Amino acid sequence: MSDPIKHTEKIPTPPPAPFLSARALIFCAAVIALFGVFYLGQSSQTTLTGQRTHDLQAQLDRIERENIQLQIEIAELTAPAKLAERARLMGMRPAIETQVHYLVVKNYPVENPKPAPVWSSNSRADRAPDFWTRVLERFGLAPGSGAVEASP
Amino acid sequence: MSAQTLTRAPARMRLAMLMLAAVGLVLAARLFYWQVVQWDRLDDLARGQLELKTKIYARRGDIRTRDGYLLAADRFLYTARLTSKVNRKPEALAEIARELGAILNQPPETILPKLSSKEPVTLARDVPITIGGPLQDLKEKRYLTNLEITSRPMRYYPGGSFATHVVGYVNLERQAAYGVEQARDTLLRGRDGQINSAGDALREVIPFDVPMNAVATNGADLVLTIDRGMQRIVEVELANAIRSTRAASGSILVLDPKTGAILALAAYPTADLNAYFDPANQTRYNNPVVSSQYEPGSVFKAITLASALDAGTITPHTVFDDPGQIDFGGATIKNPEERVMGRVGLVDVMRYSLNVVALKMSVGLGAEKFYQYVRDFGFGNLTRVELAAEVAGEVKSPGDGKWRDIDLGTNAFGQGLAATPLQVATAIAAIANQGKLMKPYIIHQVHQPGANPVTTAPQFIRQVIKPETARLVTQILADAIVAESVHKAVVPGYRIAGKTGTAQISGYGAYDQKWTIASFVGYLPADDPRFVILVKLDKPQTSEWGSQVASPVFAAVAKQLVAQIGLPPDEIRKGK
Repeated sequence: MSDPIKHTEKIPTPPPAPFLSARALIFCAAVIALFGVFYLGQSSQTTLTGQRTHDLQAQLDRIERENIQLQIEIAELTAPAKLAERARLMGMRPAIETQVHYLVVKNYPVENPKPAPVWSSNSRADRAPDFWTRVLERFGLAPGSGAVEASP
Repeated sequence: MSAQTLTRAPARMRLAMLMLAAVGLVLAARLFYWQVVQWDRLDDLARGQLELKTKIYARRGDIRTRDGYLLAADRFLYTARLTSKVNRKPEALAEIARELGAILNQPPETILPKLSSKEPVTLARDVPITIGGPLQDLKEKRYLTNLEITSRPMRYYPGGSFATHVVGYVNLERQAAYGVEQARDTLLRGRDGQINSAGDALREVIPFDVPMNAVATNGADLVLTIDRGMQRIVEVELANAIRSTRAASGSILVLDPKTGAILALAAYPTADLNAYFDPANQTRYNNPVVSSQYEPGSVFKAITLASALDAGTITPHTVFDDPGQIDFGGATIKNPEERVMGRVGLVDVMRYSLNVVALKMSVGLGAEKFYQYVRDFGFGNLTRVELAAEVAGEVKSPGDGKWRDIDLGTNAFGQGLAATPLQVATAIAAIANQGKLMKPYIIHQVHQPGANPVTTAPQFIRQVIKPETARLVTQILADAIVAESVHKAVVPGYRIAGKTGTAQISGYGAYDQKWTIASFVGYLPADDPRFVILVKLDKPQTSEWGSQVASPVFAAVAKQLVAQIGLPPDEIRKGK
């Protein structure tokens, strides 16, 4: 049996291309790690801010509710019947026409009395919209707040 | 392990391996069952534990008087409930009971057994924020996971029975009834919202993201044209009148004739708006000023007079022959107290309230023109004021199948037709306002959240009669009151114009022979009216006549109103 082995010339293979060198790998890992840290930081910050705004919103709601309660108590205390009773206890009574004296100043222009001042709301109409409404407004999703025409 | 080895393995080894394989199979089957077959149910259970659906109540708008007095508001009421036993050491339990007792104003000994109760127990029901708020704080401080605190808005009326018939009420189911509450329910109601979020062990929101689904929109606040002081005056005077005349019911209405604004509205019987659930109050919230029609009686003669003068069928100098009674349309029409006046001028026609002459005026005018004027004054049509359950009244007219010849005669003095007190006051206000009919209204301003307030503009409906006719009618009505030296509607120092009414009450095919509706509607000062005041008393027992029972009430109200707004007497006002 003849020797099947043939002598062939060994061709030198080129060294493998450094596709990802050790430095590059470390750099990538560092970037990813940094990105991760940044992402975690941001999301925890978002959660914290969300929690804080939620707490503030809850606080605002509570203050508003307490404010309503106080307004109701004021209205109860200033109910016309209560005021009249307190005035009576203090010795006051309605004036009768013979007790009312109008002082006339000569040549003083007399005008019809002006109507009583109208109550002006400084409550909810003038308040800033709540947190979620402001957020929704930013996205153009807030419910419409157009003026409603009152029928006379 | 090779196949050779397996085949060589002892039998028990094979058995063990088979058993292991069987166990593996069972585990795989269970895994498949829980992960695939039961997926939906378990997923729902997990979401149920984590997800929190929080209803955000929209706050119903406030209702205030024109001068800012709060008539109706939503307040939040809290209910606190322990869902199960509080598992703490005895000393910690005692401390919690002490703190709860301080908040609820109860002795700790009564609270301690509730903390140990295995059954759900209510600690407080429908308490205000002054208690609900500290309860919430305690729950968070002590981490009381089984203390369930819920809140809900409830309508409250701080004035109780103040302006009852104007406001109306909202019940526990948040359904509005009567008054402005019902008439403007959509505007007041707002829209509830809901937050779908994750919840923690305390069932509190974990705000990871923005709830985009539904934000609550609060209702609009309403400011009424009602003035607190004037409303108080009419309510007190109505109560006095009901007491002194022993009338079954009654109402007083004050209008601004130049704008149609309702300044005060009171009716009797009345009830506390916070006690709507009381069966005794069920019929007391109906507003008779807009929902009950009546035959206005002689007050209507002012309308007939204005129509005839405006159409030119009579002049201020016309003299009528009054025979005391007249046959018309198959019936005999008589004057009140069967008075026979003979030749009589317009002032005396109004002063003595002569039915026969009023009939002659409407007949002289003709049915077509007469009813045209009646409708132009607003009778038979809704005023569309912002109050619930308004009725249109009833005016028959030729050709409608109900009208008969006699109606032209009886309608001239306010019988045979029906109107609401508001329609009558609005028509008289048109005479006071130079013939201009204004639409009555009761909502002065609408405050939508986040928007500028919208103020109601007075709405002119039509020129019913000429301004000079209106001035003539005012003069005749005022002279008729002056001519009667002891007219009970007189307000010293002020010239007033007005007309009394004593109307029969129609029953089943006939008029009630015993009871009447006594009324007076007038305005002052006659030359530049600031108020139209209508007083109506039903079934008074001291006298059947409007001049006797309603006129003094008008005077009592008018005197206080002019004092309230500081309107000087005519002489001073005109600088004489």
